[in-house]
Amino acid sequence: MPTLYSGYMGKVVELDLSSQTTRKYPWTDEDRRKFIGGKIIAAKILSDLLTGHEEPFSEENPLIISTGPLTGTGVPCSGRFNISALSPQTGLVTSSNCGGTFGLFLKKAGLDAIIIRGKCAEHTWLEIDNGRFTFHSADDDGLWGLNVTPSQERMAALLEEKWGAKRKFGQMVIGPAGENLVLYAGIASDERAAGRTGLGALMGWKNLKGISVTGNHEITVASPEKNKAWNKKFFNILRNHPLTGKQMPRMGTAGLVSPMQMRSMLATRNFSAGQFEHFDKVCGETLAEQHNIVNKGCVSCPIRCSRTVNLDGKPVKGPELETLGLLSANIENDDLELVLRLNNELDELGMDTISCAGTIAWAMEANEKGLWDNGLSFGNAEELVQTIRDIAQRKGIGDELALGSKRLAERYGGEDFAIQSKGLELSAYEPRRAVGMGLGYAVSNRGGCHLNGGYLVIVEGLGLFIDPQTPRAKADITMMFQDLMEAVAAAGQCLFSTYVFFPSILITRPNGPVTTVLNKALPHTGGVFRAINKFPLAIQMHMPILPHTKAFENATGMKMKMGDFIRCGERGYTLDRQVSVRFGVGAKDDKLPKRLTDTPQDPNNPSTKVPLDTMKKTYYQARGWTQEGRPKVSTLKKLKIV
Amino acid sequence: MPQVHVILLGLFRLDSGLHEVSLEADKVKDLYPQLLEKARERNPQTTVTKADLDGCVVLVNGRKSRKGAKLSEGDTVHLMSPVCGG
Amino acid sequence: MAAYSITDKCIGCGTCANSCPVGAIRGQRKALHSIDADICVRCGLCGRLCPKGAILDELGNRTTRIPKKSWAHPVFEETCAGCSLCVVSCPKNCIRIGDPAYQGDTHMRAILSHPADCIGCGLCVKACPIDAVHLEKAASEAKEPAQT
Repeated sequence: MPTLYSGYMGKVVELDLSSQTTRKYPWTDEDRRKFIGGKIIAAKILSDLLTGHEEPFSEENPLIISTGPLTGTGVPCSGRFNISALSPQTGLVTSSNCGGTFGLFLKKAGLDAIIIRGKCAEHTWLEIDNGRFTFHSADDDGLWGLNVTPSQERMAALLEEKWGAKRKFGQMVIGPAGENLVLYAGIASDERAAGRTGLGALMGWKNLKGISVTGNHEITVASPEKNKAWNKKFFNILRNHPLTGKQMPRMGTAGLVSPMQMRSMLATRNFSAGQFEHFDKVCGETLAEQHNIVNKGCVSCPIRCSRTVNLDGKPVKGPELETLGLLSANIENDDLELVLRLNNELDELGMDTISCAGTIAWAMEANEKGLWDNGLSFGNAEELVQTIRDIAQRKGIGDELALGSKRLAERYGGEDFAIQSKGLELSAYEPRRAVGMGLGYAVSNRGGCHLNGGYLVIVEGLGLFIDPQTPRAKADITMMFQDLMEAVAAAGQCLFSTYVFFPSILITRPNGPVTTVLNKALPHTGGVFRAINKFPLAIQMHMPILPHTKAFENATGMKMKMGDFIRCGERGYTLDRQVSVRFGVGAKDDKLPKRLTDTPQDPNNPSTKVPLDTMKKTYYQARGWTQEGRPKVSTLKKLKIV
Repeated sequence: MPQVHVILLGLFRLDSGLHEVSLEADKVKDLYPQLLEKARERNPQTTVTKADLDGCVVLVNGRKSRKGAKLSEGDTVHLMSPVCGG
Repeated sequence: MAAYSITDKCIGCGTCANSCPVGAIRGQRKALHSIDADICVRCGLCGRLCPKGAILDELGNRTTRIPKKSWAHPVFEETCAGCSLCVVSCPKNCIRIGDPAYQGDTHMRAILSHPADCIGCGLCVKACPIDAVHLEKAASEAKEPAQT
């Protein structure tokens, strides 16, 4: 449906792979105001389409690819797009966010989102050209079975041949892991990936190897002059901020290894400890010193946090913190080059590095404890290249490892040390030294995800230093961060742009009086966060800590003050939850393995475990959910979801 | 004066090239001029400044501390430039 | 989508079709050519090359031939943040993000890596979110008085 707002292309298309037909999906300006775009419009569509009886691997499960209104408008860090569905890994509503250029080209093709239903009869790849859909055989074209990079290269060559010219386009593909339904297979786009929650397996199940997209639509903004002027400010804010202007471009997320080690939150030996003896061999500094790094970024982003590293004399994508930590400390591997090799291999095979590494760590411990004789053990990582190839091909123990740690623990025992929540393996942050992050991992809609969980570690010892062990205020801050990140992602911007939320002085003067007072005070300000969470609409202005809202207004022409923005985020977060509730999710699923909630990390310090039940209770209250973890009717009404 | 072991992390380590040094100082902040001196010795064109050190998080024997903290013989001091997330 | 189009002044010489960077122009030799409006990226190269002035821009205005030596090229300013929107928009793949000046340099800017291929279309200027690029005629071609 055409729209009064700029930034949007005004078209959402539903594509049925089984019948190879398309139709327009109804989408109104009211929907745009309520659900913005990206992951929240996907949540609304899933809410419209899913009843609670669908299986992840079924024709009824739609794969929704959506952009935000800011995607492609030139607003900084707006190169993101979102993929949502019922996750093969968790069986619940999920979303995965990805950079690269696909989102930009989807909009150039005149589409805000595509809903992919049904299943291809044969291995297929899909070409989208200005809203025209063409199906090609992935077998005849020699794509099926290829790794991620060769797939994308082959697709590019085929298109160039067909067009007789080098047109610009975006693409996304799955690797062998997705084809073979590894439950944590991801989707790759250029060098970026929508890695988590197994969406690549869903694409594989649909027999869809890849999608290319191009078009020549213009993406318009409401006030071009204002937009440009604000962009200049916003770019400068990002470039002058110590985190987004210095730390992230230089070291990317890999720079976190050392501080996490110092704060005992670097997951080690399958989350049995928080410090790794040989961390210096695998930390971000060593990576920068030894592997000749050049930074690289997604389109429209001045942060450029991605790194190209040198492996065997060839430039390859460097590991992110999660991968770096989980493939080193968490499996007691101190060989950095091997980490790079494994990371590259996992990317090429198209699977989630976090879940794969987490599953392997569990398998190592299960083997050492005599639960499952699989030949894997801590400190022995040399053979893992072969192991992950076997996972992608579903051979030998790889066939079982492809199921993830939750299902394996159900089979072999060892639930207490299967480090996952709702079936999704945790990221590399050891939550017993950042208990707010522990709450986030447990309640997150996606499962054990640090970002969807609110990413409280940023204030619990990485950016700020509030008491990491206290449960005080953690639930309320978690809710606010979750809602804010939800809205930023839905607008089409990268979550890393939210680091400007922390005024520079707090970062450049970590020992200064302002920072010290704030660190001490924050745990006592739960009430303030609670009040804002409850009445966000009272904030009818733009705040300097969130330049995003003004950028949003300039680009779309839609009113979006800070309070509106937070409310939209809350709506999205609750909607995700509400759809998952139809699939039976509740408080019983918002949990962590016993290792993290019952055993103190430091035997001499009983507070070094996650007091989950206390925080959960407060969290549900803050969110207006019942103690069973379901949104109350009054909450749904308040959020205009029903 | 107590002799302490200083370990540098983050951007300061990358920019100064200093990893670990043993120095003598009564207080943490007394280490700073010495560290800048060492960085300059290593590379006369170094870009690191006192502001970079002021921006570092201080840990003494693994515990969060302050610039003004007193040091004892054999302490390990970590100086770590600020980071954000992933 | 609004696109360039060809009038019946076209003599079918094929110059435009041979140079269109996105392959949007079709036509038999010595017959009227046409532009596929779904493919045209509005770079205007056809208009600058057509010997007969047979090309209309997306607004319907007639274009005129401009000799290649007078084409302007992008110049990137210090404020460029290397966001690469210009790289993605360039139909001739002649822009890339420059190399770091030193180990640890993070302020890389866009550069015109293949000036010979540049068609001076200005799509990079249009794509830039912060006005960090503008078009300039090469110094030797500019008609400005010589600098002292």
